Amino acid sequence: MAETNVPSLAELREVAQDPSAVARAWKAGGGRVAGCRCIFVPEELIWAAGMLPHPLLGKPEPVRNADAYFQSCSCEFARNLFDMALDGKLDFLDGLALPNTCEATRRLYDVWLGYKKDVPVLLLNNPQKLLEEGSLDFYMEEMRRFRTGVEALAGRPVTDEDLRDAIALNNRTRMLLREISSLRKKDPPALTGEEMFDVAIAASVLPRDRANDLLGRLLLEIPRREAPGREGPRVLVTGSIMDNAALIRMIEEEGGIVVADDVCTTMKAYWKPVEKNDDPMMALVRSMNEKALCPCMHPFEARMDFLVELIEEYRVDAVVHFTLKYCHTFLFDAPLVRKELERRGIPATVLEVGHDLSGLGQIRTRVQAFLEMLEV
Amino acid sequence: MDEELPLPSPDLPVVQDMQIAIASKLADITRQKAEGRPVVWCSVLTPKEILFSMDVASLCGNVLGAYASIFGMSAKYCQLAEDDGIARDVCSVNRCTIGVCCTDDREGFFETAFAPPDLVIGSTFPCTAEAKTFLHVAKKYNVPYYVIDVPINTWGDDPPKHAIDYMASQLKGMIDFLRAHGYAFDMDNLKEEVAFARRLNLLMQEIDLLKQAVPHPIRAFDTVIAMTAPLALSKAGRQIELFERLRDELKARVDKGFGVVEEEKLRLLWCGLCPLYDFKLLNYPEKYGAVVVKSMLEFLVGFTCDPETLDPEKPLESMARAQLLSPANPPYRGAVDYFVRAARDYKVDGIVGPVMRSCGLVPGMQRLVKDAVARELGIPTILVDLDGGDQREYDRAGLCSHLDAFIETLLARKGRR
Repeated sequence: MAETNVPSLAELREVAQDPSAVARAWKAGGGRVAGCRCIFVPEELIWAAGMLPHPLLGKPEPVRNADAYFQSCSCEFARNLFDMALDGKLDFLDGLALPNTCEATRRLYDVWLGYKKDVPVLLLNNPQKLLEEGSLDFYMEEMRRFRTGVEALAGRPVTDEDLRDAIALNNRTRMLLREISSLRKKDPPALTGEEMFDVAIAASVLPRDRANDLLGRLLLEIPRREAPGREGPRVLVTGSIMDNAALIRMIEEEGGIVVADDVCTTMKAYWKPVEKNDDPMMALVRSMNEKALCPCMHPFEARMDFLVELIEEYRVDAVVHFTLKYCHTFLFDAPLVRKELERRGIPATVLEVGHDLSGLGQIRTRVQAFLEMLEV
Repeated sequence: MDEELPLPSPDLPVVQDMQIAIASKLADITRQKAEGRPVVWCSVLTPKEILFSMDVASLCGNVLGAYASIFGMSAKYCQLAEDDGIARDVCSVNRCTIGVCCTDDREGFFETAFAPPDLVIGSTFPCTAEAKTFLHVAKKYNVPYYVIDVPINTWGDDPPKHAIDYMASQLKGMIDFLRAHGYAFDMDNLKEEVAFARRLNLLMQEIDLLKQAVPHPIRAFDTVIAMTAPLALSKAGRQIELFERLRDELKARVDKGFGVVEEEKLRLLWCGLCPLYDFKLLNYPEKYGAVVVKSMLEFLVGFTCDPETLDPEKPLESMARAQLLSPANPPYRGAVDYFVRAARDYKVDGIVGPVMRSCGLVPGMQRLVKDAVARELGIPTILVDLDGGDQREYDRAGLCSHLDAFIETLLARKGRR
């Protein structure tokens, strides 16, 4: 494997193969673990409370027991997470923190509250709209409530100093990930899309100090190896939550080079740092408010602006917009995104993919056709 | 009409008048648009008090999607939306709405009931599909779009001040949006509208109590028309007298002991969207002596707020509180409480829970409602697959056979077969 010259990359990719092992190890060492999902959960507060934030990732497996609680026409990712919870695969969790985003997330909150009472669940009631600077009082109050909930979960208070430290630590993670990602701006990119995806996943689940150590080493080590890239269309992948690299790997196997991944497990999560502020809570609120990059948020233009920024910075040739089955927010956005991109002369395709990766053979055919079309 | 359309004829005289008034309102908006008056599209749960107080010619845009389905055109308009890139897995009523906007070739009902928007107002309440559909509509017609962000209710019966303030600021934003596009705002007008809403809600409380009577005095289809009428009627058409007539006609029936089925054996609650393209199905259980006494539409668009919430002297705060406290506002505790209370108050024997494949909202709560109603009242629920908006997904025979089996089981349970 190419990463044999890059031990830090090998180590990060190994973590990405079994992300929950990190949380289990933390728990075995006497720590507490708070599961969370998605970019609108301020992980800094969890870390500042002395707990390990563990962004939950599903497994590409058919849903079994959770279908008794969620209808089978509900978001496959949410159902998959609850299935894992029912199967005891998330037994390391001391709590769960969710934001106010899509129906599926709210539903997960309700079902968890009703049927998984052994693990407390918090819900941050964030606004779903990019707000003006003077209109953040509601967000601030809800962030305070969330902080109180986290403190109760952790069994200890969060001081402002703890929070500032956590913000600084998380910002360093984001900065390192952004620097590593920017190596993909090269031609050919210094690392593949699949490698970068794994790096981002590993960094998201590792304790931040450990992640920063590995990411720092990776930045030093990666220039020492020959770029694994080759010629091919530079592709940006955007869409629903992506908890495994199957689609990215497929695109790269078919000749595309995934240079950017605008999904909530990767670039959306690390792109924007929390700006410095005397009041760390206000810093968090501002940061969350500016993260209106998800279809759950309004206006639509915020997401498009971010996409266009990535397309320009990473010199993207084409966009693959993927949606998970029954992911209504992205399903509604997809045609608008495609039209907007086509208006700008950027080829785009929309793929609806099952979370259990069923139908991936057909998706491969679509990817092949799309990439071939780019060559014409 | 009864033979050609999937609609039964209304039973109560006042409901017949409401139906005529709704049709004439839609025709009137179309005429006004033709005469050059701008039209604002809004979503079902947008506070109408603001629109009426500012004399805005408005249409509930996604009600048009519902009408497409009601008049048997869902296949055409869903397909048009899908051809435009909208996935078949998303809300069929909203898909129909987008489809109606995808063509200038609208026939039949829409010849007199369609006016393209000059402004669009959407809402995050009750679901993603609402705000996203109106985004599509605004993009389609290239018109300004304002979205009301309604926080979900994580506080219970008494939302804190910061939540009320935020919600009120969103409504103020709606007013500012309309003002920026030429509409005048007068606080006294808004107070009058909130006072009207309060009276209407009080009347609806009386009507709700009458509807709880045994035997049930109003057919399910009449209830749907009556409960949705205030959303679809024009400002002038929303007469208190109309709803007083409804109350009086119901009261006369209750006083006489009149029931819509001859020998009422079972009372059902319909917890999901009824098939809009086959409203007659709501009356199907009557052949067993079973009657649908309450349906999901009442929960979604009906009068669920306590009139005491509405203080005309504090109009924005009142409307904010009403939005936050709506049982349709997630998370689902409010919805679960609503259906448990409805099942108890209406003396329900069983619940039919149609699972709409393309809905992100309702399927989410049906298991919770089912368990809560069973736990607290011992009432059983049947969950059935039914997309109430997209006729292409409809299997009437299959659905009826589920209903037959459920009703027969309930009858056997009551020992009254």
